[in-house]
Parts: sequence; C-alpha cells; structure tokens
Amino acid sequence: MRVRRMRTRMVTERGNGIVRLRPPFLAAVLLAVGAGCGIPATGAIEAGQPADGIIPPADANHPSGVYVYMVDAHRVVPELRTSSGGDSPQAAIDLLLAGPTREESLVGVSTAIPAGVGPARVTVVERGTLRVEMAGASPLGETALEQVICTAATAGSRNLPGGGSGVVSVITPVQRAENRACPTSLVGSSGGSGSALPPRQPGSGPETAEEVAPGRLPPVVPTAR
Amino acid sequence: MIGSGAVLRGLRATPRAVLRGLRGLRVRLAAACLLVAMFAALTTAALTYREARGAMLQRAQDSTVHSVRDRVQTVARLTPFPPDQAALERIAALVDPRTRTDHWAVAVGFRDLWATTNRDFGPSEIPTELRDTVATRTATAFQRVHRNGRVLLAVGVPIAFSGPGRTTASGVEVYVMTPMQTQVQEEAALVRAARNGAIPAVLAALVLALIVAGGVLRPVRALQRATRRLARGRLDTRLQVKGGDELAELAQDFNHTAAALEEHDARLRRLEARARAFAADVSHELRTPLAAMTAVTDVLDEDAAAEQLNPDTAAALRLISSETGKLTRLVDDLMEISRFDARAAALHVDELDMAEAVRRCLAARGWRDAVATRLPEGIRAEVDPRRLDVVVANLVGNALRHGAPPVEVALAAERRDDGDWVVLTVADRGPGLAAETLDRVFERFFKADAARTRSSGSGLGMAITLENVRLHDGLIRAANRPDGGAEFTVELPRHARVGAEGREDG
Repeated sequence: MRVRRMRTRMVTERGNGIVRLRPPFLAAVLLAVGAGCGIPATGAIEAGQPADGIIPPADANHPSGVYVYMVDAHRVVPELRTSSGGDSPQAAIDLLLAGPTREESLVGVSTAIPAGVGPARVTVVERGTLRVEMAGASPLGETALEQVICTAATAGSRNLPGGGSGVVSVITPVQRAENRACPTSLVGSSGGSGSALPPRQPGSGPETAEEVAPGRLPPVVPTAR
Repeated sequence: MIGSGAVLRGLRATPRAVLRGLRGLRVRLAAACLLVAMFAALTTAALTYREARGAMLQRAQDSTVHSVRDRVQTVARLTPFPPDQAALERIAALVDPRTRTDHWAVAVGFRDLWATTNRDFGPSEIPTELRDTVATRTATAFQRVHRNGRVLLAVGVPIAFSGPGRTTASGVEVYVMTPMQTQVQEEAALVRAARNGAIPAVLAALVLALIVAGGVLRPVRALQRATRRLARGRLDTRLQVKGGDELAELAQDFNHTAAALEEHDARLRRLEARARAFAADVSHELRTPLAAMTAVTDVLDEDAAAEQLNPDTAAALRLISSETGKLTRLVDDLMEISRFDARAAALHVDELDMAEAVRRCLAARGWRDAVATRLPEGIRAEVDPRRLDVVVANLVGNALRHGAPPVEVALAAERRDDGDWVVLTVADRGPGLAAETLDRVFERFFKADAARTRSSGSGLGMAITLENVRLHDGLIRAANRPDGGAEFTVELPRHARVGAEGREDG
C-alpha cells in the first residue's frame, strides 16, 4: 500500500512537470510547420547589372556607333564599333568587310568572310527589306552569311523608319540568299513578329542559303561605282 | 488483500483509474518519444521544404530574369535613341516571347512614353517598389507579388547605353510580369511531399515510441509484480538484473531486500522449530519416568484404598496420584500439540454416521445423561473418527466443567456454495465467556478465569480441538448465546478434501 501511494505521488508530480512543458513545445512545432506554406511575396530584389545595347546618338564628342557581327569562338557576336561614316547599314557592312580590328584580333575575334569579298552595296527594297549586293568570287559560308545579314539587319532596324523588316537578301556573283533574318536577333524570327513588323506572307519566310548552280546564275546586276 | 482493494477502487472510480492510466509511465514515455519524433520529423520536413522551395523559386526567378535581360539586351541593339512610341512598342513586342508556356506582360517606358503588349497592363500595375529600385539603382531587379490570388513575378530591366565610357542609364526601362503558375504547382507538390514524408514518419515514430516505452517499462512492471509477490509472502522472489541502469540498480536493491527478509524469516522459523522440537523432546523424555510413577502410584492407591496406610500418608498419596495423572495428561496433550506443530498429524478419514459417532463419544465418557442431544439421523460425513471423538470430548468436557447444565449438543447438515457441511454445536447455560476472551479461548494454556488456575484440564484441550478441526479443513468459533451461555460451533466439510493432510498452516 505504501508503495502504491508513493508511486501515485510521483506520477502526479512528474505529470504536472510534463504538462507545464507541453504548450511552448507544441507551439514551437506548430510554428515550425505552419510558418509559410505557399509562395510569399517579396520586396524588390536587385538581380545584377542593367541590360545595355542602346547606342547613344552621336554628338561632338562621340562618333556614331554601329554593331558589326564578328566570329568569336565559332559564334556570331555583335561588336560595337565607332563609325566615322555614320550608322547606316552601308557603313556597318563597310566596317564588316574591313575585318576585325587589331584589338578584336588580339582577343580572338575573327571574321568568316573570305578576303576577296567586297565591296558591297546596300539598298532598301520594298517593305523595309535590305538588299546587300557584294562583289567577289568566293562563296560565303553559313557563318559569313549570318555575319552579313545580322550586321545589315541590326543597323537597318535602328535606321529605317519603323525599324525595317529585319529581313535581308544577300546577293553575290556566285550566290543568292533571299529574305533571310538574323537568327540571333529577335527580329524576323518566328516569335518576333510584333505589331511593329509587317505581317509576313506565307512562303516568304526565312529560307536556307541556296547555292546557285553556275549554269543557272541569275543575272548579276551591275552596280555603278 | 492488496489485489482486492485495487479491484474495488478500480470499480468505484473508473474515470479516475482511466485518467491515471493515461498519465501512466508508458503513455507519458510514448508521448514524450512521439513529441520528440514529431518535432524532428516536422522540423526536418519544414526545413527541407523551405530549402527546396527556395531553390525552386530561385531557379525559376533566375531563369526568368536571365531570359528577360537577354531578350532586352538583344532588342536594345536594334533600338534607336531616343526611341519614339513606335520604337517602344517594337521593343515590347520583341521582348515578349509569345510561346505557349510563358505568358509575359511587357511594359516599356521611356520618360513619359509607355508601350505595353497587353491593353489591360499598364505602368500602374507594376509594383512601385520595383520601379523605384530599377530607377534609382539602375539595376535589374525582380519582385514577387500577390494579385487576385495569383503569384506574379515582376522583373524590371533598365537599359544602359553601350559605348566607350557610356554606361549611364538610357532611361528606357522594360518591365515584365509573369504568373508563377508552375512554381505554385511545384510548391504544392513540395508541401505534399513533405506531408507524405512527415506523416508516415510520425506514425512510425508512434509505433516505435510505444515499443520503446514498453521496453523501458518492462523492468518497472517486473518490479511491481515482484513486489506484490513479496507482499504475499513469497520471500524467494528475485528479479533478473539486466544492464547497469538505475532500474537495474533498483532491481538489485529489491533482491538484497528480499534476500535479507528471507534470511530473517528463515532464522525465525529455525528458532521456532527448535523451540517446538525442544517442547516435543521434553514431553517425550517426561513420559518414561511418568509411566513408572503412574505404575507406582496405582499400586500405592490400591494400598490406600485398602486402608493399609495411615490417613496422612494416604491423603498425601492421593494428592501425588492425582497430580501425576494431570501431569500424564499434560504430557500427552503436549505431545499431541507437538505432532500438530511438526505437521506429523495425519488424517485417517472414514465415512461415519455423525449422530452415531457423537453418541458413542458421549457414552464412552458416561455423559449420556448429563448432555441434552439433538442428533438427527442420517448425516454422514468423511471425518477421522478418533479426531472427531477428541473434538466432541473436549468441547463437551469443557462445557461440563466450566459452564452450567443443561449442556446441549446439536448436529445439522448445511448445503452452501462451497460444498456440504456438518455443523456441530455445543452450548451450555453458564455465564458465558468474557468478550475479550472469545477470540483467545483457543490459545494454548489460556485460562478464561485467571483465578481458576488449578483446573483439571491441561490448558491445551481447546488448542488441540482447534488443530483437529483445522486438520479437517473445518472451522471452529466461540460465541455467547443471546440468552446466556457459551456456544462453540464446529463446521466440518462432509467430503474430505484430497491431500488434506498436507494442508498449509494459515
């Protein structure tokens, strides 16, 4: 009997102890569980540098700038150049055909355009499409074509009213690539047809470079120089 | 006794007993284990969930921010400066990828000009905090906002000028807002995963906690059982000591206590046995000289009766003769008691007609006329005839000696729950017994009347009667009749129990 009574007293004392301990313990557990399911809102969080790419207008201290697409590690990338001849597509293509600058060569930037190609003449044809006619017998590879098209299209979009169409035709004595868009810019690509662009007609989309057989050479338009 | 008390208490206060059960060690231990396990499981689940959610959100945000900034940068190269409304609209249109998976609402601002891809999305929809950060810090920034129960990611990208030494902001800012639908689904999946992980873990913890609590409490329960056994007199109870924890120490202490008790008890028993053996030996040693003395006094008695001795010598001789007779009876009774104490008393049962047995006993002692009997015929019982004779003779002799006539002997058969019984009652019309002597009347050498020290009895008669009744698994009790006189009641089972000889002394 004495043993039983002792045990009972022990139980109540210890029991009270645990009861006192429980609420904060449970609260901590519930807090840990309940704290933030779902996706919480945040304040504004900085995430790095701003974008760049807008070339400021030329003034007395700063000459015009144009993007010339060069080859860097097998990729066609834009290089910002200062241009004494303005920022027209013609000026951009002229700079492109002049090849990389010394600084660019030093860091491994090159061009895929063969040495004998050029000079070029850039004209605007209907609906803001640019036409680049180039002399020279060497055929342009796919990379070289991309350089020409992107350089011309980028300059054109900054220069032409409404940004132009972003579509470029490249004509050389041995080659003809019609209505091509620059793959790395968003203009003229499948997702880029915004309201500012003229609606594309069926079948007039970008085409692959078409090697023209010598026997079916189109008439080369002689350019007046 | 403890057991029945506990049962009674349990029956009376069931809710309290249940409450005590709930507060029992096992439940409390299990609850403690469970709480710890729950805490661990839930904390782990919560922390894992938070980490996974953080990583998932960061990946999604980084991807979106990177993608927006990339597209803005690409479009920026195509943009003249200063841009007019058409140029801004062109930027907005070009930044929007317009794929099926991404739904971007794009707004482009330049000073007071704004262009958006979506008519119902304007600069006012962009979080003010984000616009402030983009404008003042000239840095790409993002913000998560809740709009109409949806989670949206807003990304702001300011465009800086390109060119040598020209890294200042152009003032063109592009904002993209996109619903984080995929992330909301992924987050729900994470919560599900955390819950699916935590709930089985907690359930498993419950089972484990009960098992562990049971394991911890096993020694406690063993201790409880052992204590109760010890309390019932099983002094050889020992606990198996396992391990070296506090409970093992307690078990060891229990064993020491039980061993000490057992040793003490054994020593007492040894002493008692020795004392009994001494009494038996003494009475045995007294028998031989007593037999010789009895023989001599018998011869001298005959001489005295024949008046061959002078009167003084004859009186002295008669005194010696009667005292020798008492001494012989005393020694005989002592030896009888010793046999009971040594448990050497054997029961030789025979089926008897009780009325006949009682009558024979009274007749043998010449009490037929002094005793009124009420002996119904046909009551048969399995008893030891010699011991029954001793019981009846002692009780009737006692009544005749100390009570007043008429002495009544009655016999009855009773059928009870625990079997058939024979009830033998011996009553007298004397003064009865004093209340304080009622329960001492069966003690050895007890004299109800302290002044009457020289009675003819040995003082062991009632004790021997008690032992004989007990040997039959019967009961005997002394009481006073309401109308005066003492009454002794003997109850004997009609059917002797098997193995009655080895009956334990209660």
